[in-house]
Amino acid sequence: MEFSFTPEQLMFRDQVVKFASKEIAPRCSEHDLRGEFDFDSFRKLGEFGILGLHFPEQWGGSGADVVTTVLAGEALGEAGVDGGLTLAYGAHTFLCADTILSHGSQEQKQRYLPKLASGEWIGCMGLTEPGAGSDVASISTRAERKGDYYVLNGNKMFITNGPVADVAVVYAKTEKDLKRAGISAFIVEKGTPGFSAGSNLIKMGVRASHTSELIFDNCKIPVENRLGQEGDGWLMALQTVEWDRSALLAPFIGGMSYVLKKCARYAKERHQFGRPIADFQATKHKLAEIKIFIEAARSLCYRIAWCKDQGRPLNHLEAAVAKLFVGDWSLGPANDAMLLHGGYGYCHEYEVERYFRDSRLAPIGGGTSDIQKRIIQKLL
Amino acid sequence: MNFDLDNEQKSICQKLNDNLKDKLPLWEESLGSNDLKSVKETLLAAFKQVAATGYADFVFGSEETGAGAMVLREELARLHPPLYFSLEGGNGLLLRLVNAYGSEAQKEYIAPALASGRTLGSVALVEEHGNVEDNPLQTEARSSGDGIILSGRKNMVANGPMADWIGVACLLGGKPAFALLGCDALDPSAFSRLPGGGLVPSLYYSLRMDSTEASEQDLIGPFDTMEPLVTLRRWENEMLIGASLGIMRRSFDQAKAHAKEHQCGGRPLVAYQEVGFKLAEMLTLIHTAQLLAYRAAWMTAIGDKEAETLIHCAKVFCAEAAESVSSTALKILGIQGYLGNQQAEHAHRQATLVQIGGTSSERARMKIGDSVLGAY
Repeated sequence: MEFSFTPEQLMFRDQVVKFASKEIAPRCSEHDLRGEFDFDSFRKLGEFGILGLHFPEQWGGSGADVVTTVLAGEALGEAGVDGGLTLAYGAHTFLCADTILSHGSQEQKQRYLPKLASGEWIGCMGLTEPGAGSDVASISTRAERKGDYYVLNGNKMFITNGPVADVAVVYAKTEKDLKRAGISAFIVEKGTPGFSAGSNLIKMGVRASHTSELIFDNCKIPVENRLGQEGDGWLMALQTVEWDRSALLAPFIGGMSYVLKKCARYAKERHQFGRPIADFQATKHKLAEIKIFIEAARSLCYRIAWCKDQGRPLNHLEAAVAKLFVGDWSLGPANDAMLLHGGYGYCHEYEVERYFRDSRLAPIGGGTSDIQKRIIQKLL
Repeated sequence: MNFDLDNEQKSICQKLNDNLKDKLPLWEESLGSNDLKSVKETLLAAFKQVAATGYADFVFGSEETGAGAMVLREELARLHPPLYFSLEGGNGLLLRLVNAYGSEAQKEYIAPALASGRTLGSVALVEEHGNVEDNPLQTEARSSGDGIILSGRKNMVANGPMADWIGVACLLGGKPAFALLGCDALDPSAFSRLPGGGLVPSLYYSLRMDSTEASEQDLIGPFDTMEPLVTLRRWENEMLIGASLGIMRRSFDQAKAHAKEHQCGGRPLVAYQEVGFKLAEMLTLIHTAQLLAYRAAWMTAIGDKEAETLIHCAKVFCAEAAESVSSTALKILGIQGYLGNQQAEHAHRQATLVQIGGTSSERARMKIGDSVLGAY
C-alpha cells in the first residue's frame, strides 16, 4: 500500500495551480457576485487541456489517467477557482463528454469530443426530473421511436450548464413500462426543434454555474444520436457516479486548501488584544479542523480514482462513502473558516463566505447524503 | 499509488485470525483475573502466537513498513484490544526504543525475547504531574559509581509489575535518557494499579521510584536533543491510531451483527433507516479513518516532511471517530450494549483512552494549527 504520485503528476498539478491562479481565479469573485457564467475562463480551461484531460489524443485529449485527472481538479480548487466554474467543468467533462467517450459510436466521438475538449462547445447531462431525482428508474421523460428518429417529451430539472450548453446527454424512457431496463441515452444538440432550456435558477452557491430546466416538446432526435443500445441508459448513468464522487469532489477539496491558506494568512495579520489571532488556541483549533478534513477527504477521492484506473467496475461503496463524508463533514470546516474571519468572513470580499455557500451543495448535488446512506445501508 | 495490501500483509492478517480467534475466549478469564502470574502467562502465550504470524518482525522490525504495519495493528486491535495495548504499548514500544537507540549489547539481550514473546516489556514515559511534550521530564537520574539512581513518578506504565524490562524516560544531567530497569530492580510495591479505562484491570500502573538503582550498561543515552522523546511519542501515537481503528471496527461488527439479527416489528433492525443510516455513518468514518491512518503511516515511513502533521491529523480523527462509532454502536445495541462485558461497551471506554493517550486531541490540534501557520 502506498500513496505516491508520479513526478509527472505532481509537475502537472503545479502547472495547473500556476495557470489557474493567474488566469482564472482573479475573475471568480466577480462572476460569482453577478451570477454570470465565465465563458472566457471555460475556454481557457479547454485551451490548457483540462476539459478533455483524460480523453485519448485523437479526440483532443491528453490520455491522462484518472488519478491525474482528479489531481488536476483538486489543483483548480487549490488555485482559488470557484465552485461554480469547477462544477460547470465537472458536468461538462464527466457527466456529458465522458459518457460520449465511453459509450458513443466513432461518429459521435468524432463529432462531439474535439469540440467539448477544446471548450468550443459546452456540455450538460439531463437525468434529474421535477419528479425523479435519485430514484432514476422513475423518470418520466419519454423517447418514442418513430422510424429513423425518436420523439422526446418531458422535462429535466436542476441541469448544470443547462442554459449555456451546446449539447446535452439526455436520459429518457424508451420502454415506459420497464424501470431501469427501459432507460436509454441520447445526444441532443442546442437548436434542435422542440428542445429548449429554462431560465437560470438563482442558487445559494456555485452561482457562476448556470442551472436550469430542460424542456422537450415533441423534440425529434435522429436514431444515430442514441448512445449505445436501447436500455443501456441505466448503466451509463451509474458509471457517471464514480466520476461524480471523485473528480467532481476533488475541486471542492482543493478549494478547502485554498480557504485554509487564506485563514492562516488572515490569522497572522489580524491582531486582537495586542497579538495576532493566530496566537490563540481557539484559532489553531479551527485551522486544525480544516486541515484534518482536507487530509481525510483526499484519500477517499483518490481511492475511487485509483480503482477506476485499475479498471475495477462500479465502486459503489467507496463512492458513496466519499460523497457522504465530503458532504456531511464539510459543513464544520467551512463554517470554521467563516467564523475565523469574523465580520469579514460574512462579506463577499474575503471569499470564505463563497466557500461556505458553495459547500452546501456537497451534501445535495449528485445524490443527497441520505441517498448515500441508503446505498451504504443496502451494501451492508 | 496502490490501495491494496501485498501478499505478506494479507498472510499475516490471516494468520493473526487463525492463531488467535479460537484461543481468545479461553484467555478471557485469565486476562481478567487479579492473579498477575496467571495474567502474565496468558499474555506471553498470546504474544508467542502473535510472533508466530510474523507480526513482530514486520511491525517492529523496520521503520519503513508504514501503511502495512498500520493495517496489522488495526487487525490485532480489532481481535483483542487489551492484548493489543499490552503487546504494542509494552513490548512494541520498548522493542522499537531498543532497536533505534540501544547499544548492540542491549539489542542482543533484550530485543529477541521481546519480539518472540518470551518476555514482557514496557516503557514508562508519562509523568505523574506534567505534560512530557511541553515540560522537562520530572523523573531524574544521577550517576552513582558504576550505576545510576532514579527518582520520580510515572503513570500509564503498561504491564506494570509483570514487565521483565521497563524503559524509563528520565533526565540525566539535564539531558533525556532511558534507563532499562529489569524486574529485579523494582519492588512490586512500587507499582499501583490504575483503575478504570475499559481495559483488563491489570494492564496499566503507576510507578514510584525512590532511589531506584540501574546499571550503567542498561542506560540508553543521554541525548543532546529531545528527538528520542519526540520519536517515542510518535510511536505511541501510531500505536493509538491502530487501536482506534481496531476498536471502531470491533464496535461496528457487533452493532452490524445485532442489527441483522435483532427483530423489530417483524423486520431486522438494519432494515430501518434509523439504524441502517447509523451504520452507514459509522462505516464512512471507519473508511475515512483507515485511509487517513494508512497514508499518515506511509508518509512517516518515507520521511515526508508533512508526516508529523499527518500523524497528528490521523490521531485526532481516528480517536474521535472511535468514540463516535462506539457510542453509536451502543445506541444500536440498546440495553444489550450497556450491559457489562460487551465488546462495544469496552470499545466505548477504550475510545476515551485513545483520545487522551499519546498526544491528546487538544494538543494535537495545537500542533496541526502551528504546522498550518508555518506552512503559509
